[in-house]
Parts: sequence; structure tokens; C-alpha cells
Amino acid sequence: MVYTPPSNVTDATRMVSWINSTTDLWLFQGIISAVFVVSLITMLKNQSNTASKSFAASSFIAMLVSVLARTIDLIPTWFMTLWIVMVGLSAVWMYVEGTQ
Amino acid sequence: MINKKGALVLRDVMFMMIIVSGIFVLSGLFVSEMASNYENTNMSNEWAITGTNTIANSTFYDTGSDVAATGDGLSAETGIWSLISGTLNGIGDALFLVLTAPNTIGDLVGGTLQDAGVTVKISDIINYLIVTIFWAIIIFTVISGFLRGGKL
Repeated sequence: MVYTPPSNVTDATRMVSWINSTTDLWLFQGIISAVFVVSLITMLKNQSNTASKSFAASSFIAMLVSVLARTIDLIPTWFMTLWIVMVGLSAVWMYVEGTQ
Repeated sequence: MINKKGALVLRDVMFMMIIVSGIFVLSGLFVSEMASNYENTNMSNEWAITGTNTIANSTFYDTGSDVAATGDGLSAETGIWSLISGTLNGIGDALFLVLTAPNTIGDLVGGTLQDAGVTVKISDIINYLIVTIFWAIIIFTVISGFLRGGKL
């Protein structure tokens, strides 16, 4: 597969944007997924956090980052929608579990 | 919160529907604000037509308008008949929303899956599966209530 050669890459922002477009927008989708996984594991390590609370907080962080990334056209809309849905599901999970 | 026996009743599904649609509506506000501030019309246009956004909006505002209608009926000053009929109409609308809550959740999930690129055939099957599972749980909970804890 032949990738588009970098052109007009004069600073770090344009370089990241070029890498993202070359990887078909998967660079930032991977970064946001990694942010979710790392924050989830970090929160789960704290004994006072339940699984639903950790899931809700980490998916909320990922949702905030995804909306910011979508604003500058780094991820597709469906990926942002996915995180919004995850926040909704985590709220339902917290309700079902009766988390205070 | 679900009752101590862990049974899912229509009330819980209704609360789930309101919570999910409220979160989607607030997220939609966030997305629209960001798109407006940074003049990314492509983003707001794509988000506006998603099933997640449209179904959540209609669910959230329909519930609000039904509750408002009930409130208007209660505060009617044109006689006892308008008070009773207005209140009953509002309660009837709210009851309809409660009864269709499992279907609304199925529609929300189905619409979201279609936004994510899942074909209509698959999303329809998942939609009906969610609706039937919810109704099965609710109906068996009601029957269990009539049998005073006994199960079929």
C-alpha cells in the first residue's frame, strides 16, 4: 500500500494530522481508546471505586477528548457518538447497581 | 434503584430511558456548542441526523411536555371539568410513554447501531430482541407480583 507523502508538514500539529490521515483516522481513535483503558485501570486500582463508577468516569473523560478531537476533524462522527453512548450506558449501569 | 429482589419493573426502564435521553441531549448541546465555537458545520450536521440525537431529543422533550400538560391541567382555572380532563389527558400521555419505554430504548440502541454502520437487518433484530427481553422480564415480574413471590 502506498501512503501519501507528507507535504506542508512544518510543525508538530500538521505532522500529527498527517499521520492521522495516513492511518485513516485510526491514530486518534487508538489514542482515545488507550486513554479510556488506562484511566479505567487506574480508577479500578482504587478500592473505594466500584466498577460502574470507574467505567462512568473513564468513559466521560474519553467522551470529552473525543468531542475535542472531532472538532478538529481527527476522528469520524461515529467514534464520537460511540463514546457518548458509552457514557449513557455507564449511567444506566450506575442506576442498576444503585451506586450512591 | 432496582428493588431488593433485583427484579426489573417498568418504572426502572422508564428511569433508564429518561437518564439515557437526558445524557444524549446534554451531549448534543456540548457537540453543537463546540461545532459552533470552532465553526465546524460538518460536525454539527453529521451529529444532527444521527438516530442517537433525534430519538433522544424527541423522547426527552415528549416526556417534558406530557409532564407540563399534567401541570397545566392541575392549575386550570376554568372549572372542575377542565381540571379533571386536562389532568387525565396528561397522565394518559405520560402513561403511554411509560408503556412504550422498552420500545424507546430498543429504538435508541437500534438507531445508534445504524449510526455506527450496522446494517438495518441486524439492528432491527437487536432492537426487537431488546424490546422482547424487557417485556418478558416485566411481564414475569408482574405475574410474580400477583402470585405473591411465586414464579411460573
